[in-house]
Amino acid sequence: MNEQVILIEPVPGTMLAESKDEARRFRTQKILPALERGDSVALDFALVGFATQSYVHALISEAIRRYKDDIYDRLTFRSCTKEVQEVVLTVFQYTMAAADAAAGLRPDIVNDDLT
Amino acid sequence: MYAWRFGLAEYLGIDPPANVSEHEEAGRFVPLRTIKTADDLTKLLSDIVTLLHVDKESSKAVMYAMSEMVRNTLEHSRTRDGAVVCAQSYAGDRGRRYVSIGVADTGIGIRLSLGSNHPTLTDRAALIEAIKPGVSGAQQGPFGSSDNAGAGLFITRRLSQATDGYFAVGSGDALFRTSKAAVRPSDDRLVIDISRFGGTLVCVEIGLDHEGDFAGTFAEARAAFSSQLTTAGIEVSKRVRFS
Repeated sequence: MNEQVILIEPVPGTMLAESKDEARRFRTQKILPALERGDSVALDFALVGFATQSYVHALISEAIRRYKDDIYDRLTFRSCTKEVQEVVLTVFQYTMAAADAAAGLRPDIVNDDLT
Repeated sequence: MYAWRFGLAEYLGIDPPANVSEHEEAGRFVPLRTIKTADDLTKLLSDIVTLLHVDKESSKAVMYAMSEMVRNTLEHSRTRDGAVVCAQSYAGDRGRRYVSIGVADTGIGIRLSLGSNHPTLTDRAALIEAIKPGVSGAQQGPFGSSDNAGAGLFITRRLSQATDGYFAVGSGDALFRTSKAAVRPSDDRLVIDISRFGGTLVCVEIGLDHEGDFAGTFAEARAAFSSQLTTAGIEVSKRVRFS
């Protein structure tokens, strides 16, 4: 299995990754095609200090939804600060919960709007 | 006078009604400006640290909130006029410093932006829905869109509260604002009636001298988020691979 490495870049002059256009481009042009080929993907956050939830959601939520538990072995995160890790974990947590709910595995979602 | 100093006259292209004593902008505020594109937002985010003179750690929550709130406008308001934004750094109680940011638009407002995914009868009900996690008009199901999760308002509010800040969002004839009371009222009791405003306005106050770092602050927001999602929780932290 090959590994595709994607370098995440921040807003110029800052340490923040927030461009959803860029996230969407990475998702549609690199991440999902690589996973479809059977490759793994490494997202390298070495240049980034923190990222918005919207950015990380646009980057990885579709991959989590499509590949569910397999994604843990095929998507890795390099050089993440604690801030980036927190955002990544947040997106994983609610996307997995929503995917399970959609599959009827988790009827225990509290928010009525999520059921 | 305050609004004129914030650049209201220049923004509107009119003469101010009185002489305004202008001080150096850096270290004080970001004057009114319009953000219509992602490039405008990039420029704003690049300018914030310089204009507000906040340190890098403190600037994280400020930039985070600004990005999320402006992107909400760009993606959901359906206005060609963009978002009008401003920000200010100031000393609050006991010398603690805060940054307050304001974002407003003249778009369709929250009630209409939630659309058919979350039909609501009133602006008040729409506001309560919008601050819940996972509620967005731009998605097909719970956290179901590839581009939107409906989490921006919820997390930004929690970030603000974690730093002892104030958060408010208004649209139509309703305004939600957080409480700093020791025993916090339920959200539905924090909505008040206002004079009708067709678009959406958001105020986010961030405390700069928060004891924890941004990661800790975000962890608090994540915990609040998780508590709204499931009764049992999903343990992802041991499975996601960081290296």
